[in-house]
Amino acid sequence: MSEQDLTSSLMELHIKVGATNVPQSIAEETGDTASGSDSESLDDESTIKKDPQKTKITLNQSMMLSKLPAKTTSAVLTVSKPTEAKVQIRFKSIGSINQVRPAVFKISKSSKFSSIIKFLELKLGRKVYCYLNNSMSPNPDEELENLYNLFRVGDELIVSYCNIVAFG
Amino acid sequence: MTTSDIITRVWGGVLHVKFQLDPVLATEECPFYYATLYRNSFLHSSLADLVQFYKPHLKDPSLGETPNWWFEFEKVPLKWNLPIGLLYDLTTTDSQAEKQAWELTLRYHDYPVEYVIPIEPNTNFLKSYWINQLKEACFILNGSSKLVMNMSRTETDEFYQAAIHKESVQYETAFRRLLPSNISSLKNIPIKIYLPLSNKLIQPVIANVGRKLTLGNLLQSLIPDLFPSSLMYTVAHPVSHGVVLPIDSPVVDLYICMKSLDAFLHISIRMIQKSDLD
Repeated sequence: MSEQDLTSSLMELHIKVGATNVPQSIAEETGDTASGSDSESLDDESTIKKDPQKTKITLNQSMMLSKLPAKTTSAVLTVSKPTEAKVQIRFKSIGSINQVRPAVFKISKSSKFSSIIKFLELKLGRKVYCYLNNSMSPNPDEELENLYNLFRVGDELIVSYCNIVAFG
Repeated sequence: MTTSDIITRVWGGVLHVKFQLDPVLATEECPFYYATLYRNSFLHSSLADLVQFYKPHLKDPSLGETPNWWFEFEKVPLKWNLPIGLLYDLTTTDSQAEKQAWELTLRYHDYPVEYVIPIEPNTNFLKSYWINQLKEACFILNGSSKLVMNMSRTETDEFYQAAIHKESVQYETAFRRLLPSNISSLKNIPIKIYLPLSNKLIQPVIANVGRKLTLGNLLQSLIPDLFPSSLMYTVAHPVSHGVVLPIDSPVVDLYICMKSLDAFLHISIRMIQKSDLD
């Protein structure tokens, strides 16, 4: 695979290579606006904006990738693609904090848990603490796809939230 | 090798690390800090020693009082919430083996919020992160986090201290209490599989946990593109604690022996580099 092809494939996956500060950020911004203008932004209120995982790899890693057989490199890129499907989230308030309406939202599976926290904080105008299954607080960069697969109840991921620490 | 031999080796694994202070923070040229760090620990556990060492060299000594430092390897920010050994396995390539030490830079400015979870000030962020991972692991094993939620504050504190201070015997004793008495009662196994570009993490849902399920079976079913065979590795290797995991090992046994201090088994997928053959 040519270096240029590899760089553009990595960019699509929100992967930057350390030590190359060239036009990557510009390309990424254009990419972001493009994805922002698709059906997602036209969607109704019950969809949360997606916030995909971003990563960096070292220059050595990207060189290693470009030296692999083309078939292997494309296999790596294929398995790294984010899932397009969405998951259903149900919000439940704990204690005196307001319940958000509607209580059920959809969000892209490849988003991070932080997008849920950000969304709630924006809606409620205050800091919130979020929990799954009334017990654990996932770390903000965990992907919703994994959280959904592991901790869903029925076909929903139930996120309870509170203005103070509810489960220490 | 017995289970306890392997567990002892997992806790005993080390990395030689050479730290450099970000030159913009230093008053003059300042020395490197060499350390031998346990793979099964967090970078921030060494932060106090590092900052103490660099304090006399800091342009702004008040930075020494804050936790918001971060670490970088070859211009790639490292996540504070992953064990050191895993970070090494995720970010280095085979060429690293020729070097004497893993060279990291200690940085303060421009905290990489896009890549690393922000550190909440005035909290024991490491402990609160660790407890929540433990709850997740407990839920995955048993279908509920109750066993962790019902621990007394003292029990949780002792468990955490054992993890941080690498008191493996105490840690393993506390850990055993999270396991059901019988393997067939396990709901699932807490495993995190990191794909080579580190942007995607797979956490498998295993329907029937039992000794029959080998690592080869699991990888082939999850990532057939990289593991076309369940009997031999051809495209990629699964690595944990710096070693390639045997393809025929039962997944349950690998978990019991090679889980990290956060009660998850972390597996990084490394591409097989057939260098100089062509």
